[in-house]
Amino acid sequence: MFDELDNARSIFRKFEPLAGRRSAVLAAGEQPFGLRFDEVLSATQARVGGRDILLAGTNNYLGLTYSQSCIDAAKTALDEHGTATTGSRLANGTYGVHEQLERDLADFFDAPSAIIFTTGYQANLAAISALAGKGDHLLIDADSHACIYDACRLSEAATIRFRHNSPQDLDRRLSRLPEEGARLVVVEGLYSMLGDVAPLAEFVEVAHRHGAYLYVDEAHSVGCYGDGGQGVAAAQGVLDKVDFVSGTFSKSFASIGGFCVSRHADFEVIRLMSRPYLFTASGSPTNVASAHAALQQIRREPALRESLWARANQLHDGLSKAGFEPASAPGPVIALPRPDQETAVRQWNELLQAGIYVNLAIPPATPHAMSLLRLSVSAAHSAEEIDRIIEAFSNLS
Amino acid sequence: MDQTGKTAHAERGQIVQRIREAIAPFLPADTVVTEDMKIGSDIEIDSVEVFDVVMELEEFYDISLPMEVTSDIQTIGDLAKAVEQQINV
Repeated sequence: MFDELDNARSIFRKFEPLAGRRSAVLAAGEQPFGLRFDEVLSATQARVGGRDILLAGTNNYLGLTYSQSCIDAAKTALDEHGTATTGSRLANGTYGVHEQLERDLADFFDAPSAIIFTTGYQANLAAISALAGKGDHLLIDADSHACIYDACRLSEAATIRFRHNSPQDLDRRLSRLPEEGARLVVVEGLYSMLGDVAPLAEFVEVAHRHGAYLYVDEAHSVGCYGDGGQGVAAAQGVLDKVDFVSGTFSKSFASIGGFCVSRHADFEVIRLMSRPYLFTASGSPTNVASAHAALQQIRREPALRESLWARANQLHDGLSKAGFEPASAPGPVIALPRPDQETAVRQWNELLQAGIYVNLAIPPATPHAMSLLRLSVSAAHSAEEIDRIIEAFSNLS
Repeated sequence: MDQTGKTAHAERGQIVQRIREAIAPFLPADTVVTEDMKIGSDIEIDSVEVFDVVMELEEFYDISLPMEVTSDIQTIGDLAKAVEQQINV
């Protein structure tokens, strides 16, 4: 009976509009969502369908996926601890490598508490849903990442959205809240789609004036911003005033996993009740060890950030001179709004044919229903590679 | 009338009229909006536009509609009812 998909009770019926949109995108050329990389040669080079491709959309901001110290750490952990922990942190899933990374992250952020999670998605899901409980109030930026929205759904707190990057709108909404219940404001340091940065100093002032805690997701900014690489809050001089900082290991840390640190030692208690922390296996020893090696490299090699910013400025400047209008100031993420989805899809295919991989971002994944070509810069990009990217964009029809 | 709808006496009919005004920029000029119309099907606006409409209503009435409430709204009447309930909190 399950072969008869065209009946009214088909479980897939509700996805028909989505499937239609996918077909329309595929009709224009290659598969932009889930493109297969046949071989990855370096942090900036891959092969797709027999072609050499220059990678400019991998969020590999510091280019550490082929760092020798990260590879060595992962291999050692594999030899010493095996392929997986096969258990939750609260059961058999806490090894020395997990606790070492937590201690060093706490030290990196000068915070009394640091907890690591199996993925970056789970870091926000676990921390936010645990912190904001029944009777509390969650206030989130309207352009928040899906994992923040999902955390709100998992939480029993009432969730209110405020206008993107608007401390003024947050102020109004905090003013309307009843006296009862704790308040948690959630923003991101660097927004991944448009590459814009949050005014964190203003958010700190507004949140704390209303007795609210401030939670900053630095997934795309840790390792990239601030003199020490701690993120946008550090760059804006307010890291010590932010109550919670989360992040991922899947970008600058060139691994997989996530973390949340807090200036409140009591944060440790969520280990006992946060469902996405408790009911999943802990990060594999190899992933945790390579993330730890990346953290050490981030701390001892500020030259990585210097290279990243030199390339980001070069790319932003070159694309601007070529007639494009980046959505934000120079940074690790450079988004180019296109007039419509059809143009974005066509140009994404042209770039791939020219040997350049960028991200195609179209509604509903984008704010304001924009269609974007999104680039992420890496410290591993050479100046010549950036010139090739600019040239490919200049040649677009 | 006061600057915000909250300090004024807001009846259901007035709220529906305010919704019509907020939603009008997103619809063809001759669209007649009624309380039983479904948002997204009878009224073809996307989720971003719905968010803009909700934001405008929140600002006008000086209220905040929690996400848990807005996610359950299907019709114009549901939206009017949600606004009315928040005004009377």
